[in-house]
Amino acid sequence: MTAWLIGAVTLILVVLIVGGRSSSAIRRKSEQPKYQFLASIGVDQDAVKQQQMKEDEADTTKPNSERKL
Amino acid sequence: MSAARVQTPPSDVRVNTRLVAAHTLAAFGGLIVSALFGLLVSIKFNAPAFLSQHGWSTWGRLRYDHTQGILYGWLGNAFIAFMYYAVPYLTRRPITSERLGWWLFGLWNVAAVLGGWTLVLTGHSQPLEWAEFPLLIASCIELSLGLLIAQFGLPFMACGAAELYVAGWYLLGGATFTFLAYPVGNIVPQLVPGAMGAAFSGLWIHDAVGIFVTPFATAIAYFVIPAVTRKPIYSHFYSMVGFWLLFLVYPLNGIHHYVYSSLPMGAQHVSEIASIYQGVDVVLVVTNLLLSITVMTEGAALRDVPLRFVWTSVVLYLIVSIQGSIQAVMSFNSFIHFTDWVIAHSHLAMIGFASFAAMGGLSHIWQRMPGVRCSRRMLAWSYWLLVVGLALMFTDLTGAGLVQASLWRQHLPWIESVRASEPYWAFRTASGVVLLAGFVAFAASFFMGPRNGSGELRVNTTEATPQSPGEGRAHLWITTSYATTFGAGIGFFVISFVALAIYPAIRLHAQIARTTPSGARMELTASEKRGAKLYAVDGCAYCHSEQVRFTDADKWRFGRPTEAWETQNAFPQMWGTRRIGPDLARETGKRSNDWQLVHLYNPRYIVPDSMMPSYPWFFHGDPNAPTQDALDIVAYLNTLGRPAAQTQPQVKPAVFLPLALPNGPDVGDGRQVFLKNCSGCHGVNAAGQSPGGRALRPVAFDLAGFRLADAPVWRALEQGVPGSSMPAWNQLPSSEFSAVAQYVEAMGSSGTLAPSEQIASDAVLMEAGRRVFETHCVRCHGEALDGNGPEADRYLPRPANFHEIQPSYEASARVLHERVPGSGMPAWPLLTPAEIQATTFYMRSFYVGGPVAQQPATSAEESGMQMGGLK
Repeated sequence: MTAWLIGAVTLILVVLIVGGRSSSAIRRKSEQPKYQFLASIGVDQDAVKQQQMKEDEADTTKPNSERKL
Repeated sequence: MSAARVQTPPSDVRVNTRLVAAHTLAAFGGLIVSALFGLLVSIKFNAPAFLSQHGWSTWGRLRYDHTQGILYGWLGNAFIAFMYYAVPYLTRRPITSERLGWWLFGLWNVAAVLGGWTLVLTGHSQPLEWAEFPLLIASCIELSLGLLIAQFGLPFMACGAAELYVAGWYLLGGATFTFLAYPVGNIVPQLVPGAMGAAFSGLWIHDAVGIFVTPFATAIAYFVIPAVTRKPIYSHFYSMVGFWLLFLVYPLNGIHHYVYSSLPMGAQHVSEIASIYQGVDVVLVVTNLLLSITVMTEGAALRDVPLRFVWTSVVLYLIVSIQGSIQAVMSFNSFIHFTDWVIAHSHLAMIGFASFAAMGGLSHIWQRMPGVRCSRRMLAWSYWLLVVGLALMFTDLTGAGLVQASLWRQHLPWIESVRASEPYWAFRTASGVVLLAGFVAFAASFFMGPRNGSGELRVNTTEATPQSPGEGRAHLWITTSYATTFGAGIGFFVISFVALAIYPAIRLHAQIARTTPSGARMELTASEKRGAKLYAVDGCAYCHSEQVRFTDADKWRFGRPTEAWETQNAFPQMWGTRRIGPDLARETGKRSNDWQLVHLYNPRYIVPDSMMPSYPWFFHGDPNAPTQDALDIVAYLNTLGRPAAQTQPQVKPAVFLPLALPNGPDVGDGRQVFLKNCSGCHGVNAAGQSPGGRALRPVAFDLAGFRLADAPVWRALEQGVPGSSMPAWNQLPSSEFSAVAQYVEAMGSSGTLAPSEQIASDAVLMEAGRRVFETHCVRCHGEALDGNGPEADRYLPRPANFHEIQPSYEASARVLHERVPGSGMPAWPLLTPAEIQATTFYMRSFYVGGPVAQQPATSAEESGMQMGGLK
């Protein structure tokens, strides 16, 4: 029972992580809420967009192994 | 939450600052009052007589109100206040209804918190860890959680899954899963008995922290960090992985509070491994949060005090979680469970992690609230007071736990661990004062300093993020995966109850039916049931566990491990998670009812170093005048382990072999041991005149008035005295055992008669004494004065054997005049002083100092002596 439960949890997480890293669009989309949140609390829109673009750029130029997303 | 379609947010969204302020102020009330409860509880460890005259101020009830007040009065209000502030920013939508908010406020604070505190203090509670408020209050809290979901669920539902920031997920998950988990720990154990109920209760013990406190505290961290740094968190995706892992694994942890119990071993192993897995999740979450602070801001943002609170909370979250994972490992758990180590752990979690996060969240939003005062200087003071107070308390209690665990394994008397803990408990109180000062300073910082500008808190509802290529497909994938994982979270939540509570309960049910012995008396009488209820409402189960675990230390000290069938009628079970006093699962027959009553009236009458509270309100001013409540409690205590005892073969009494005493008894050492362990009953001068000793039945033995041979002293110390309150002291270290035995022998004095006091010759006294003795005493004490008369078997304790015990003339006269209350020895008021002297002379002549078969001195009759002058 223990192995089944822990195995199932691990499988779900692996699918989630692998799926989340599968394309740059998904990676970008999954990070969007943190920028939206900054905008909601009143951080300057331009600054938010700048940060997002900077991070997107870094993500697309890095090899897969170095990407944090 | 709508997965497919996201509604456009309204253009004007404001924070309801009235509800934020109301819950914030209520949180302060909850914090200060609960901390005061905690401080009183702590003081009582060292001063058990403090506030001990009334039921409402007894240790157990204050302890219940302390933990429940922290959970609901403080943290509950702080989290709700934070939600009123944060949810509009997280969802860009307003809350459902202000009126609903005020209903929730009233229900939570007036009905649940104030009502719960009052009912507990007046003796209405349930002995379930983290669920002590009675069922009526539990219903109010569950209803409040439903209102909480109604209040905040709609804005979350309107916000798409792919758009929701992680803090919102934590708030939504915390509210939803707490609503689901709460009845399992607070209501089900009232309906499911014993071991089966313990499985459900164990889940809630952990879910209260893991599913209620942790998500809200983590949400605050994910909210405050970017709000202060004005930078995004390090990785939103991994923050979501951490979120899912929390809800997938945390519900599986709960049974780790009952490892080595009679719950099925498979469930125990699941909880053990899930606890370790949980540590992985915490490392992920904490890494992401700390990177969000240090990498994004190069650490400069810690100058902001609310963020400093949050940063400390995050660091302590890592420490306490790793500690929790280690504690769940069975080999380590067998060592530290039930000790103050666990109390240190829980304070680190509830203050260091949860309260620091709540304080960070509240102070963050208060600095932005319009028109209120806010003192950053006082806030900084409160931070340092709390850091110092918590560090002192954690270090102190951890040390105390290690000392207790070590002493429990050394087979020393239980009271040694209490004595060793006293300095630690005193220091804990001091650290508690520092913490209380920190709490007061924290609350004060909200009423001091410059006033914020007026206005309203409006949420910027414009879209911040540009559309990107592949947006639609990514949106679909994220929405689908999050919705699926949310479903899996619910599924694992259900699985946790199936795997860790329902399935074990089914197995236990079958096991109980199979293993319950046919002769076991399981049902309790009405008196015993009333006693169980009284035992529960006064918090006895928080110092005395009622389960002997399957560990060597437990088996050695308390006997046979508790099996599931033994508690099958306990609603709810009172297994306990802490031992300040010894386990009581095998209490039946261990002590006399008189001992229990005197101990209940004032434990220090019998155990001078005890820190157990007194319960004088169960008596009419005297330990020998118990109320029915006291009798009910003692009746209940006598049921603990009774079914098992009834079905066990009688143990043949051990044959006592007196040991040779070493030369040169060290009476000084023996006196110290005597004062520590024996003087409560026998009195400081060993004359049995202490209040506790006189209240016992039979009264405590007058050690100073009798000369005792080696054998009875050693036998009593080794085995106790059946029929009396004298317990065995075979847990004493051998050096102390020898020392106290020698001291008792040295203290005993039978004296001699001054020639001027002797009213007749030896021979005459002998013959007169024989006649009196044969007339009144031989039926019990026997013709050979060896305590084996024809009626001796009727009495416990057995009649004295005058081969081993030599009375002084004074003690003999007192006994013959006053009887021995509680024993078979009656008073003989018609005996004259001369007869008493003669009888005593006769009895004394048989003393040989040991249980030997030699004959006493030749009797007067055989020697032909006359009675001259005596009747």
